[in-house]
Amino acid sequence: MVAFLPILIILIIVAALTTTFMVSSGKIKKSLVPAKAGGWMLIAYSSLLIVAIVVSLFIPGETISTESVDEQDLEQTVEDMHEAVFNAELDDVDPDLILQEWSFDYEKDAVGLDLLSANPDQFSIMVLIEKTNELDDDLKAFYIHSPMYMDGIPIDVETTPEVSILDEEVRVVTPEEQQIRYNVYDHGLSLEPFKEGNDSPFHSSFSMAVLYLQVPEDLEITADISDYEIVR
Amino acid sequence: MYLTEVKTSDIIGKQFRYKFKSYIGVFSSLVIIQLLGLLFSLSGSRFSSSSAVGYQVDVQYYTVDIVMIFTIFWGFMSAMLLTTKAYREDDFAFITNRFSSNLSTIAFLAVISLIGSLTAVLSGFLLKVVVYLVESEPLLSLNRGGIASTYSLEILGAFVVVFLFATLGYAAGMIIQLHRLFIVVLPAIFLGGSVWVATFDVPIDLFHFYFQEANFLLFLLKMVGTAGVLCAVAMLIANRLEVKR
Repeated sequence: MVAFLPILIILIIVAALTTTFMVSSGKIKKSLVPAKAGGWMLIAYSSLLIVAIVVSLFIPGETISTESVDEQDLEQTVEDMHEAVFNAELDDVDPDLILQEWSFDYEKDAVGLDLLSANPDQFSIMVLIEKTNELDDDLKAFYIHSPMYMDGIPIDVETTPEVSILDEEVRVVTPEEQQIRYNVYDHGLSLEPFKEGNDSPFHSSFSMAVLYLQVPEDLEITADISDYEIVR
Repeated sequence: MYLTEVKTSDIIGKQFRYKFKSYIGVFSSLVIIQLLGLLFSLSGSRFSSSSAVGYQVDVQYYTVDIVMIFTIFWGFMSAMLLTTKAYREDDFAFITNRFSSNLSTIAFLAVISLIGSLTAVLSGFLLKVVVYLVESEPLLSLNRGGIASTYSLEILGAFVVVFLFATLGYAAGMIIQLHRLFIVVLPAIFLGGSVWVATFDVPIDLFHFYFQEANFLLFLLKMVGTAGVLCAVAMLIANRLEVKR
């Protein structure tokens, strides 16, 4: 009931405003403003709206379409990426999804992982390790990120983690969280017929972030088993 | 046999013109209510948020939903006020009967509903301009495609909803004119009914029936059909009201 209180108050304000300008008391109609003012107010308001229509034509900014994002295509892209990295087929990953590459000289017999994040309980990058005989005394790292959409708006993923070698560990530091804010003007009415082909405008695409490490075949991994997954 | 034959349609037309001139004050409240709605809309109507590695994405939506809700309520209140004795008796300046009086009032309600819907939908442009001027982030425009991209259909959709609530207000006002007790009884029935439906999970979902209809034609039919029934109810009740003394 408390949740409805603000709505109730607003409706009371609207009711009060309506009746204030058009009051009937018994046989006498009273109004706080002269009746003719209503006509002039409507003309002024309509003129303002017409000016706004013209001005809005010159407002710069993109038009996004909920129809432009093919969710099936998007799911397929994430699935293909998932399949490629888990099958250790890095060549099959869309090059556009590899945001950064690192290469390190590494001559030691074992390597650990030091995964750091601003929020220690939430290290959300999946670490996959591929042991390969194509490498000898070096390590390679790739940061792969699936395309990201929020309510049909493409989000340009640009930030990447910091990856470095420190003693016998690969240190991965997740990027500082960036706040991105979009303002979207949606002229469509929130009535069901106007949501055609768009069950819910509120959705974000599932995104996947992977740090893909290629290490020599005989390198021992000393990290906690829960921090990574070996792919073949 | 009379020298001057008076047609009902002429009477209705004259009454309508008279009402439009006399009750033009309704537009004062319409303008103020829509501007108030726009003011509330400036803080955004909807918000969605999502996060990924290194990102927190917030999307603030600006819509005219609040303006529409206010306009619907304005239509309801204005129609209800027209049923009060002072307004009803205005018609006796003409040779009239209940039928022509009601029809001219319903025509008046239809016209003000149309004007209210038109300005409500177009107020989105004003909202867009103001948001662009006051917000620092870039403003994107959402194109939902389909019929939502056609303003004329949006105005039509908004009109039937505002008109439905106007006729609901008109019928409720007429019921209240039957007996003052209905001022208490009607809200009690409405609130009690809502609680009853919610508590006992009664499969009478009026909101779903009217507002979750995805087919535009069916949506129009439901709205116009119900508005017609409400008009008929209001006219029947009006016939039972006391005559002017």
